[in-house]
This record gives sequence, structure tokens and C-alpha cells, in this order.
Amino acid sequence: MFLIWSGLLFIATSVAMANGLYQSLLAFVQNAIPEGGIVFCGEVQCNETAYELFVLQQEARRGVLVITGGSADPAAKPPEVLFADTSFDFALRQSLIPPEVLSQFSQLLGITRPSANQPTTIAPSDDVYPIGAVLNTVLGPIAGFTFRSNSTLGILRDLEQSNAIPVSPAAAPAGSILVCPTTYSPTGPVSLGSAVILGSDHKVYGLDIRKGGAWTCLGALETWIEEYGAKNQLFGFLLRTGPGQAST
Amino acid sequence: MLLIASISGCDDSISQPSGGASGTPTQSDLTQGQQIGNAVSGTQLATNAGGAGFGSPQDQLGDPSFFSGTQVARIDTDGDPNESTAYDQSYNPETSGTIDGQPVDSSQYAYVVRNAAMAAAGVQIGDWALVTNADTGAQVWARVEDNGPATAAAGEISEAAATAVGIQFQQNSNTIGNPMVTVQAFAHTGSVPAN
Repeated sequence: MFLIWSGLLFIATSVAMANGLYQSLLAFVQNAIPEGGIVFCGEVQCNETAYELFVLQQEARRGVLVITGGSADPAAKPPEVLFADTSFDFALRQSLIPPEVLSQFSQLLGITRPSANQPTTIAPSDDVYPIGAVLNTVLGPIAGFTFRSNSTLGILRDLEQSNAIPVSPAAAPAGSILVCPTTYSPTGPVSLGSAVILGSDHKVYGLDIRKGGAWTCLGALETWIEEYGAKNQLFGFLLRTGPGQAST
Repeated sequence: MLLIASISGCDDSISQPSGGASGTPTQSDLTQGQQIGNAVSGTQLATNAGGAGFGSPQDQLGDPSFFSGTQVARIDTDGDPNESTAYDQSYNPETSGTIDGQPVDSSQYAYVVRNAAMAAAGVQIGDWALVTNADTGAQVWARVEDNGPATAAAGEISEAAATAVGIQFQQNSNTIGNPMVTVQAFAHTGSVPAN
């Protein structure tokens, strides 16, 4: 496992080559993820396809990045981003990556729960960036709502399939759940998303991996909108009271 | 990949999703939202906490006799008449220190709890202490007004001290997140008046 930080290209390249990561793939990753930290975790071969796993950290968020086509053969298919988000679970639900590959990826990441390669009914706390599980600690007791996913794309899907009321993030009432889903394209860039709750003090709260995964104030709503809305689409939801809203 | 394309192809606008339910929130929905908002921001309890209470020492105190190092903040609710063991199982209506013969109200006065290491450094009830939020640098002057278990780590502070340095907590005394603090205590300063 090795670490790539922007600004450490020479060292990263040397280490990468020593670990068997091809120059073309290294260049691709550095180009696709211009900000944050990148850790190469390993490669899994399945059906003659190589799946390269990276862990990303962008400010308070952490996520996974899966790339295919990272071959040493210049004539081979060029690398492309297959999946990126704060958890694998959305890729599993959407069958974007073979389950046996995800199972091995989970082992590489030290995720030991038996259901690591199976869809879960409640977002597990043992995950790369367990944002859904953390949101559940607040939403479950008060609203009886639980997310199934730790992926920002999965969290958005859970909310869209619930009876939560869509609200504009800029005018969201206290207690609203705000989601900026992860975005990526096959050639990059990759931008990890975010899911937060709007507090009564008009600040947003979520998970900060830099603080040991603690529940943290991430700043004023306006700042969050400015930061994430500049690059991605933002969504807001207010949970309804009463039964029938849980996503499980 | 189609799904991803539909999401990543969005522009930078702020939008409402196509899915989910439609409609206007009811008062009940908004009240529930307020509960959720209070739970994450701690606003509900912050309104009970009041000011720091003791002010700051009038004189320079010199070097601290005790420094805790960075500790996980814990909230001591003792002396708060609005608290009870129904919320905080470790609640005690009495405090080791008193003001006009009454317990020191955790929600009104910034105080720190003395542990064995503080006592060994000569720190006594009533001495001045400085609490610093290690994450933000926010500080508040406090006094040492309660005794903790002999084996307790430093870092236990009153509700008012927590609020003063921006640490949020719930009525069961649990903090929101894992905020970190440092505590400096100054032995033999109990007689130094406040500004």
C-alpha cells in the first residue's frame, strides 16, 4: 500500500513502480483526482479484468475509487474510473462491480463483517466512511428513519424512494438532510460527495474522518452550499413524521 | 454507468430531486425537523447553559501548576437544578465547591472537575483554571469546583464551560462528536478576584 499526495510526484512514482502500479495508471489517477490524498490498496483480477482499488480522502470525506484497464500494455484499453463514492454499497446494489471483487476489496480494506459483499438493510458502522450509519444515530431515535447505505449515491436513492419532502438546500428548514452525491466520469475528475444534517444553528453537521470519524460541525450552510454547489448538484429533504417513512 | 452519467452530468445548480414525496411540510414535520436540528447542533441545551459565570482572574496567574494535555471533553452536570439522574446517570445535585452555601450550578458557572493528578499538583477547590477547546482554540476561564473519581482523566468541565468554548452536548451529558479540550489549573489562586 502506498500514498500519493499531489506535490510528491517523484516519490510517489518511484514507490508506485516499486509496487507494480503502472506509469499510465499512476498518471491517470493523478490527473483524475487533482485534490486530496490517494492510497493504492491493491488489485483484484476477475474474468480477465483487473480492478484497481484506491482510497481517497478529500477534506472531511473518505471514499473508494475503482479503476479498470490499468494494464502495462500500451496497446490495451486505457484506464477508466469504474466507480467512486463514500462506500462500495451502491456499486453492489447496482451490480457495477462483481460481488467477488467487492468481497476481496473489503478484505483489503479490513472490513470484516460477513455481509461486506451483500446489500444491507441498515448502513453498517464498519465501512470506509460510515456517513449513513452516523446519520442514523440521530434520525433513527427521533424520526424512525434509517439509511441502508453509506454511499452518498445510495443515501440520495434512499431519500428519493422515501416519502421525505424535497426542499431547496438554500431554504431548508432545521433538521433537513442535505446531500451532494459523489460525481465522476470514466476519465475523471472524481469529487467525493457529502451528506449532512442542517442544525438549528443554521450550520451543517456530518462526519469528519480527520477527527476520527466524529460527528462534527462542518460550517455554515451557506459555506457548504458554496463549496459543494460550485461543482455538484445539491439536494435537500425533510423527513415526514409518522410511520411508513423508513427506508428499510 | 447510465445512472452515474445522469448524476454527474448535472450542472452546478441547486435543485430539488425528481424523486421523493412532494408537498409542503406540516407543522409536525417542521417540529420533528427542529428536534433533529437541535440534536445535532445542541441548541436546545445551549439555551440552558447561560454564561461562564466566574469571569476571568484580575491578576496574572503565572505558570499553570497542572496541564492536562489534550483530553476528550466530558460534561459534568452536577449542581444544575434542571438536571436529574433520569437524564444523566452520574448527576449529583451537590458539588464540592459552593457559592453562598449553594452547589455550583453547572449550567451557569464555568468550572472544571479536579482529578487525582490535579490534586497532586496542589490544585484546590476554588482555584482558577483555563479551559481550551483543542479543535478551535476557544478559551474560557473557569474555577475548580468539583471533585471527580480518583482515576478520572482530566477534561471534565461544566455545561457553562463547554458552551463557552463551543462544545455541544445533550441533556444526558454526552457531547456531540468527540470534542477535545485542554485544562490548565493554577494552584493557590482561589483568592484571586475576578474582573
